[in-house]
Amino acid sequence: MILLAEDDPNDELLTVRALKKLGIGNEIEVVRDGAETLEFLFATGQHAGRDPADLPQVLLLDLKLPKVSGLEVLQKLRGEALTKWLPVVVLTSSSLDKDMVESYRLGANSFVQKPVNSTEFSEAVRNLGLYWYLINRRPNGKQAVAG
Amino acid sequence: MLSARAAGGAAIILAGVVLFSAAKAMFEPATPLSWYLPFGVLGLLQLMMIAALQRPIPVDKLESFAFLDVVAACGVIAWGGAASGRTHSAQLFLVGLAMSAAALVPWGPKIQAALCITVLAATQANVYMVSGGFLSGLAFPTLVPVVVLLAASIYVSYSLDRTRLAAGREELRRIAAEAEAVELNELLADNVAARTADYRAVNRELENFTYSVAHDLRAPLRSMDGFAAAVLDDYGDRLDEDGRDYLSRISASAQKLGVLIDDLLKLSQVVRVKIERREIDLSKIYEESFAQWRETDPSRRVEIKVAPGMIAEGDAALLRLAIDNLVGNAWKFTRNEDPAIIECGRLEEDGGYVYFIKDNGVGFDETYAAKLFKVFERLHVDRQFEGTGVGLATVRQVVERHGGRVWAESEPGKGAAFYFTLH
Repeated sequence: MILLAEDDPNDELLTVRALKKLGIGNEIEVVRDGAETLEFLFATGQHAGRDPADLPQVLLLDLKLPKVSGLEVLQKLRGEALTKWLPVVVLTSSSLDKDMVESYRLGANSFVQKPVNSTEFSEAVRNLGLYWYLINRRPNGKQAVAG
Repeated sequence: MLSARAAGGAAIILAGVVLFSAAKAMFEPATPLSWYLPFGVLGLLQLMMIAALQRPIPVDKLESFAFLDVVAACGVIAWGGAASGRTHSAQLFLVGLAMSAAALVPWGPKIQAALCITVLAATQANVYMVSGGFLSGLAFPTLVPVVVLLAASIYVSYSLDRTRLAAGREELRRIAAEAEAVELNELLADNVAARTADYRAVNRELENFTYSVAHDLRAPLRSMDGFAAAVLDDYGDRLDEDGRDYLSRISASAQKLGVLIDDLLKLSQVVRVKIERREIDLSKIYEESFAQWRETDPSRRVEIKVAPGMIAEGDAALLRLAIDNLVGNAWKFTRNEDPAIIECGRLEEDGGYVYFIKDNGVGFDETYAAKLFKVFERLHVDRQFEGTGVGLATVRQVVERHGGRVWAESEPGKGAAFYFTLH
């Protein structure tokens, strides 16, 4: 599963559309703010019924999220055993170096600026899906907690 | 060392003391020995003071001098008065003492200095010698030579006093100026603090604004471009030529706005960023920039000449940005030339360097050269040569932030040359 934290419905649709072209459109879960992202991952609140050990392959994280910001989510994830090693790709409109540096400082695995150009955007999302979903390996929930 | 005037003064005082004593001993043999002792001591005291007064008295020492002077004056007056049986000398002594004491009270530097100078001026004119002499009831033959000598002594002492008083006044002025400066500085510090707070607030606002521009303006553009592309992609076959053309215009406009936002962000960075100077190889930056542009269009024939070893001092990131823009310009405006020729180098001028980049492209009308470096001013229509009109404004910012100057020369159809200096 790919977890997409995105509050902009247009960006969500474009991202999902690009991933669908890769044939992994059904593997996407979307959360719309920072708080929901944490609830999903730790199976609390509106996602209480979920199995928290069922971790996504990757979290595509927007920085400017309502309620809890992307950077706060990142910080929280890195402080918990379950999500300490969860691959997090920051996927943002921001072109500011400050955001990029801060993301890495808080433990992002990758930082990608969403291109305005639609071709470049689909290509970027496609590459992310290809690499993080199909190629990369990560510890599962049990291994993460045990480690 | 004593100055000539002070030495003369000392000699006269010494002679005055000796002659006065001698005359008194000669014409008034009844004078008791106890008369000479304090007189001699006071003479010595004055000699020491003349020696000490070679330099302007530091203002913090003024009061000690004034005190000594007054004590000496009052001492002689009181003593002379007592010897002659006149009683008001005791009151004089008390007045002098009170003035000296007043000079020692910390009223504040201005009042204290003024008081000290008044006391010094009043007492230093050898008042005590004269009044001491008169009050002790001198015989006329004693008085004549002594008064002449004392007059000379008064003159010398007075002229020394003038220097000293001038120094004192100077000191007073300085103290007043200092006090004023302190007040002004405090005012200035307050102003600076207020302005800094304002500036910080504005800067914070600007950063928030920049952040919003960086982030929020891009998202809708991506949607415009993205969904126009999606329509073309998914439903293109159901549209006619015009429909597809309109959609690609939406895409192109969105992309252009995206580039414009990026360029403006870069420009705002150039204005705000702190410059970090170090030695950099401009030739290398030119080469790298050309390599990037060549990748965008490998089929073009472009002759590039970059003078080797152009070492300069400046901010690497900013100069790279400026050079990217200049190279990009040259690349763009030589598009119709075959081969295009672009030359980068530097000339020595007035002990410094003038860097240039010349091309054989379309050039521009020099009438409008000043407009080139302003944001959004473009001399070519979009249709011919794409661009946001921010690039050369960015170049100018970078160059000016290095203390340099940028200018351009050209004639339509004969290529353009851009020059800049760095300091």
